[in-house]
Amino acid sequence: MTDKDVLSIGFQIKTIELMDTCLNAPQVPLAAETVFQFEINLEHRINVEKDFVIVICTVSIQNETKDQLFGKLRSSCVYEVKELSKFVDPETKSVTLPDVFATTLNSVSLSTTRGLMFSYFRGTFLHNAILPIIDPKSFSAGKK
Amino acid sequence: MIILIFLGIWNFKMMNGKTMETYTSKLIDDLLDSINPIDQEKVDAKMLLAAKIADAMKAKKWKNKDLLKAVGKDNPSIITKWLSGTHNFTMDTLIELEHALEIKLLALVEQEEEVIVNYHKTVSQKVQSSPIMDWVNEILGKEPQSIPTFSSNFSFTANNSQHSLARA
Repeated sequence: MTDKDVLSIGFQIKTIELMDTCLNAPQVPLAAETVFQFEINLEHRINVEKDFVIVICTVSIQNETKDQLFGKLRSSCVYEVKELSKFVDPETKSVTLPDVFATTLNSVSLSTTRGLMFSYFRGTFLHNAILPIIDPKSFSAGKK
Repeated sequence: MIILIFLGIWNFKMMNGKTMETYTSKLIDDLLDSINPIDQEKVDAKMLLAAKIADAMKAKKWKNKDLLKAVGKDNPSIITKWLSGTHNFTMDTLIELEHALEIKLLALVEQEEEVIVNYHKTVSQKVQSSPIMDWVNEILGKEPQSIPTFSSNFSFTANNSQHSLARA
């Protein structure tokens, strides 16, 4: 697709849900400047029949060496997407969302999860562990 | 069929009895083994269709005469036959029932499975200590014995007119 091509997809967020949370106190005192590792997983569940895409975002906050889990939060954002069936390949019957659109869904879901994380972890030792700004295009994707 | 009814009655009696026993009969086992799986599937499908129709009628609060009217038939016994679980439905009847009851009885179109795509990334971020983190560190840095603990027992008595809180 060239820059001049315009992709128009009608979509709207329908539900935001906090699915799982956990908080574990650190085993040893934390340094004044602590490096947190944010492991982010985004899962797209596409249902063509019902015209919706569910983006499940899981963020785990670990210590620098990734041997202790400080906190974890899993959220889901449900998007209603108009005419989702147009992304179905008639030959293979597989659904492939345009990269730009998938990136947009990831971006919105990540921002939403950042807000949920702040709301959940505020007042705890993870108060300042705000999910960093991430380029949504930089995620590596794999289809199940 | 008689055997199944007998088994049903026997089970019912056993459920009402004080003790449960496992009843085995070679004759029943042989009869059950002799059922052709395809025949069994046919019976199951007919029973399932009847159950789906009955459920849809219940959801719509319809009686037999309402369904009869909706499908444009005039013989009331046909509904009883459909609900008996033994009727061999024609395609035309099933389509008429689907429209009348607004349910799906035929699944001719292949259901598309939900597609799952995963994205993964790890980022690290250096975070400045927060006042809360200092408190956590202070607690973590001390020996458990040195952390002051408070303990008190209270009893609470509620009367009709007054409440009193007294240290035990």
